[in-house]
Amino acid sequence: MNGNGESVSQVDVELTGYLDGELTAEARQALEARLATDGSLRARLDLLAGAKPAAEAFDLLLAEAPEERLSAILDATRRARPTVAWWRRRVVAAAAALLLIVIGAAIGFGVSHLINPGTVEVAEPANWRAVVAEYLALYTDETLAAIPDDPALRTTELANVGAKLSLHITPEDVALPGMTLKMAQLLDFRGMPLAQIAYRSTSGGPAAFCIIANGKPDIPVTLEQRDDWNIAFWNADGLGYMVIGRLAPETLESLATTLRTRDL
Amino acid sequence: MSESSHDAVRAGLRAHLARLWRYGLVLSGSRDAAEDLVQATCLRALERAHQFTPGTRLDRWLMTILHRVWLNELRAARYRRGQGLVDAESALVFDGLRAIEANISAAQVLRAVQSLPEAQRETVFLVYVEGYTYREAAEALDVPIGTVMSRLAAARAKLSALQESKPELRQVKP
Repeated sequence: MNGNGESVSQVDVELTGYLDGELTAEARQALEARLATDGSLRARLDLLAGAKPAAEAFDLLLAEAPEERLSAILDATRRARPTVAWWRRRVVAAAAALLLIVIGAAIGFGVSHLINPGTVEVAEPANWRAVVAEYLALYTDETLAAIPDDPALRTTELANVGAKLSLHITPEDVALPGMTLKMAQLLDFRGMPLAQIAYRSTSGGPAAFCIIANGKPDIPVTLEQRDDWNIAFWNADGLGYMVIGRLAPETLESLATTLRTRDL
Repeated sequence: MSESSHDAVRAGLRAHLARLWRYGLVLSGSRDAAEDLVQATCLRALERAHQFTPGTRLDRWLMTILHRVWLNELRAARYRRGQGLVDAESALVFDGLRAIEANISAAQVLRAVQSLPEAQRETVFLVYVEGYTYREAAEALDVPIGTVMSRLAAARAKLSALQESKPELRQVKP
């Protein structure tokens, strides 16, 4: 993969690594030995060497930066005071999401909780994983068993959900051992897009892989328990991930590690 | 949040505003979007000043925030508004950049890089302009090193093909 779906020759990769001084000593020596005897390889090296864009060209862009306006933008930026139009839209979206959470939680907890002052906590849940766990508690094995297996539809669902997170997700990317992919849907948590990819595990019961654009700092794969759910979660480059199910912690950890290394 | 980390991040932002804007311009191809990206980056960075690890490179931290904002917020927002992404071929990046138009060879380099697919373009920019190592670029873009390598090789192959088809653009090797 090179970001455009087209193939790139291994020779070009090797030569580029050589030009950029990124090959190991061993690989460099092996390549130099081949270069010494292979004229067409040398020609290719020269061609790729000449194609390196000159960094100086980009220096001219620095001179084009609207310094005064950028300085004014920085001066106007204060902590916790969003100022841009599209941030305001997020605030509206967050309010709408909060309402949905309250409704969802009311369904999840039953009406008896509504007359309990404790519902205030529900409106401001601990974090997105708590909300996902509550939401998933509404699923039964039958909920998922009733969804027909339709690979084409799953592909479309994943593509749509992925687009909101600027990810390209295929069924292969999220295929998990012992799990049947059942659906992918886009949810919203406080204005942040949240992808829920649901599975029916062969050992019984629902499980899910969720991704949220939460902008949080990186954290390694971590295990936790919420209600009767086990969860493995991690954060990487502004995206939060979790795998949740009524599965053994070590199973979840291995699923999480599998997904983490797939580089969605 | 400690005031000192907040002040350090604010000072770092001020020192790197032009570089952040340039990264935003390369990613989005639009001056307006580049300004929006700088603004969002200022906000995010100040909100999270306490997460910056003193002793590590503040410029790289800010660049990573800007890239993440681009992926998660602005690019998606542009899709939602139906504006799509800037057609790199149209090279909107040069709108109003008269100084650069006057420098023909630089303009050709910028236009050629801007014509690359986004993933290749951002990788080329970080490694060949900002001086990231492969490993640093892989971390900043959250992709494996192998992906960085194949993006750069594909970019060089494409740029060399552009030069072949227009021999007058051929650069003299240093």
